[in-house]
Amino acid sequence: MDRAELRELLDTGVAMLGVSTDDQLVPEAFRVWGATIDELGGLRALVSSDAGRTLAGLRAGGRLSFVFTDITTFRSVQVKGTAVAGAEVPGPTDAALMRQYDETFRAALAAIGHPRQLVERLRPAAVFVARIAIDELYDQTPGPGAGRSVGALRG
Amino acid sequence: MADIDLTRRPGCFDGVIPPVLATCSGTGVPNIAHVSQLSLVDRDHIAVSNQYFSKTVANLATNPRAAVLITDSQGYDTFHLDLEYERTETSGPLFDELRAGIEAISVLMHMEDVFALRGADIYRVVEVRALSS
Repeated sequence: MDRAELRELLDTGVAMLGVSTDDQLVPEAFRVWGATIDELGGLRALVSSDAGRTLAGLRAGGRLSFVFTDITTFRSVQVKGTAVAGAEVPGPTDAALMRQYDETFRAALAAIGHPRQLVERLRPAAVFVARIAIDELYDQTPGPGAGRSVGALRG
Repeated sequence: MADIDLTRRPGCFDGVIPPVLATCSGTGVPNIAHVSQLSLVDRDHIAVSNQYFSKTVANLATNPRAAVLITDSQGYDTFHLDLEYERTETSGPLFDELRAGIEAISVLMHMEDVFALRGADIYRVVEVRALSS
């Protein structure tokens, strides 16, 4: 998978979820409300501030994984990576990314029959930025091939 | 012990909004995957359908801690559950209940040839946290 293909997937209103872990290897799952691939090929994810342990513990070198799923086709990709910094405050471009994601995810939910109220309840009250160097990509589309490595992100 | 009574939240277990299951390897690499079906075993235990989760199985063999995000289809409250894996059942009433649920979902998704239940993974619920969204 190359950067353009992953960026395109992220722009289409896919469900975005992630997981981090602490020093005791206790995972914390969280919702992501917008993500993109930056100019260096890294993942920039807007993580729900509900993920309190992740917010408090995120630091360079920490391992995280994300799953991005097209809820209309079930195509699903898991991204495994390493944080390049601690949690950061979102900027204006992140606010725009959130708005764009809100619109596209709302449309995807509507396409499969979910009411507008659902996206209003899923939307995080606040987010923080996690910047991730992508290590591995996996096909997570349901079926016998789920979990198949699709290698590293190509330029 | 669950402070929030999940027995009063049947919409968390009806499969309408797919949950996600998070695990972590013994070397600290986390993994996350959608699951088709959750079932409430009792106030402090849930069962998770195990379909093609080879990475999840490998992680649980070295680290029993896990987490799920579930959204109640009746009102859309979302909860984060800290879990500890206890065992896998490959037959019996619980397995049959999950298999029936998965068969129903697979028909709705037109994926009858794709979904197959390998086991019902039983987890103890360590903590339930309601998300603020």
